[in-house]
Amino acid sequence: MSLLPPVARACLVGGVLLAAAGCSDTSGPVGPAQPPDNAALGPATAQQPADDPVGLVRGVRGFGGFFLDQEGRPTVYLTDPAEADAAANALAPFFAARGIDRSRLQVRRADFDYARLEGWFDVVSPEALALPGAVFADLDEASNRIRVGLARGAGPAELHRALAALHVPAEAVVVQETAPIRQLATLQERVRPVQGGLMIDFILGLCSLGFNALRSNQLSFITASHCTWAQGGVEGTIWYQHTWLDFSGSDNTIGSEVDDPVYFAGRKGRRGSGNGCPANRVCRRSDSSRGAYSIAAGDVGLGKVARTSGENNGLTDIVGSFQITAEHPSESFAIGSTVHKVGMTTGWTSAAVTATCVNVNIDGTSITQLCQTLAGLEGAGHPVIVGPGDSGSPIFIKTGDNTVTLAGILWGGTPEGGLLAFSPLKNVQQELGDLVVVAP
Amino acid sequence: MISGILVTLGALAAVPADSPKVELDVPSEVTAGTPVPMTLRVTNTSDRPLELHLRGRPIAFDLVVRQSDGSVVWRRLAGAMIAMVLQLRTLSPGETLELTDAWPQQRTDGSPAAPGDYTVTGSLLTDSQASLDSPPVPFRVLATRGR
Repeated sequence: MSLLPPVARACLVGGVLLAAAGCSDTSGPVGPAQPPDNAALGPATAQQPADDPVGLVRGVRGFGGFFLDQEGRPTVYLTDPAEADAAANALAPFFAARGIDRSRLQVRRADFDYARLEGWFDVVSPEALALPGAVFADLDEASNRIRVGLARGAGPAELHRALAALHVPAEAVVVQETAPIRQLATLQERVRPVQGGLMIDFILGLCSLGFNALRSNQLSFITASHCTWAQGGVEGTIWYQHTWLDFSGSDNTIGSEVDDPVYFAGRKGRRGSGNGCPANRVCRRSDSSRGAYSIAAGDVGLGKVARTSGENNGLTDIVGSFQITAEHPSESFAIGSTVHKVGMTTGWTSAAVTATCVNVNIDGTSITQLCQTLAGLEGAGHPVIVGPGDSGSPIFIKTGDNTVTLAGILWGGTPEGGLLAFSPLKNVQQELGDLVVVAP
Repeated sequence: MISGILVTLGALAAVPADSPKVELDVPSEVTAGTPVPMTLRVTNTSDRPLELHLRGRPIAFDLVVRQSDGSVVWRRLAGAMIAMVLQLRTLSPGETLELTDAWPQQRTDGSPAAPGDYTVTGSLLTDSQASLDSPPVPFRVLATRGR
């Protein structure tokens, strides 16, 4: 690609585009493809827009490409540098629109004129992109060459054979070793294998999948209890990943609710509250529920949590997975220790634990969550670490670059999003039973 | 993929974000010491269904009481912990979502608020930073007779 994306002409494999309009020329209304050996294309028409410099200058004899160099200087390739004035005249609308002094135009000698490169590109691109390891093909205005990207390890021999068969000179093509280009899925899209941190839909709303687990050999996933049709009690909630309605025709069902203990009422003992639950309230030690995977879920990543591109960067693009290698063994956490989460709305965030084993009343309900952990800071002006849809997110402690210790399930936060609340894994297992969360 | 308000599937035209009507119902005068009932109403005034993306379960909404100099006396969600589900709620044309609470005539720190003139604003929290806010509504707390 040149430094001027609007005039780029490129194709990529795998349906990923560097330029708009698929593999067609994006340089504007240039008319039918010119024959490869046409050296004089006639003057540019008055209809060429000022933001289409190639369209403006391509009629100049011997034109071979136009781009802005790294200092932003307009640069034109010409097979005959004597055409510099003609090129500058043709580019006058572009210069005027951008406030560029025409004297800044620099000329490089072209080995190939643009029309010839276009003709070669049209035949090279489909052949090159059909080769194993091909990543992109580009008519590179900044090098006066066709540029073909090959993945590391993909030798150029086959490409050279194809060029010879097409009668395209090898010196007109630059081979560039490059990394494969992949479309990044986000936490809010359909992702397989199903893993922690992904968006799940339960018709009434959206939450995040916490983590996968085996419970008595039943392949399951854990999310928040309030991410079911009723908080507490099993109603057979159906979950979908990413959403229940998908115009692609995919069945996004991943499973149904099989465990969600009922909240228990406060009961007074001889010396105050007997079961730890306040009078006139209902309690649990975790806001968690378990779903059993259905066949439709497809591939399930036991021990995997989706990893996004960075911590606290607000992005939800998935670049890999964290691997759960251990379980936090206690219901309490050291104040000041750092916990992380991955959730569909705010992605991968982290914060220091600010309170541990605290009893928390939920706004607008009679629910009290017992022995919960808080991380982050309350009030406005603090980094946002939690948002609507993050309920159910896995909470973990990082132990290596990609390895984590599972620590709990996120369920709440302050309206400003600076403070999150989670149920410790220990409490989750106390209520849902022993769970195998580490892949064998 | 998410925004505060979306038209439900089947209605292709975008509904402006200010389409729902947000009102707060508060008595114009109350006597000192009695809780002040407040009702937040969000009405779909369009002729198409509206899908609201709301915070919390139950739906989280805020009420902010200010005294005449603009300083905040009480905020309903001050220090509150809300569930972080993204709740989807569709309002049919003409349908109203109603949320109620009462101001206990206390400041956020629990101390009693003095008789006088106040205003209150109601806000429905959505998935975006911008909430659906009612216009401020003035009301008066009257001193109890004989005091």
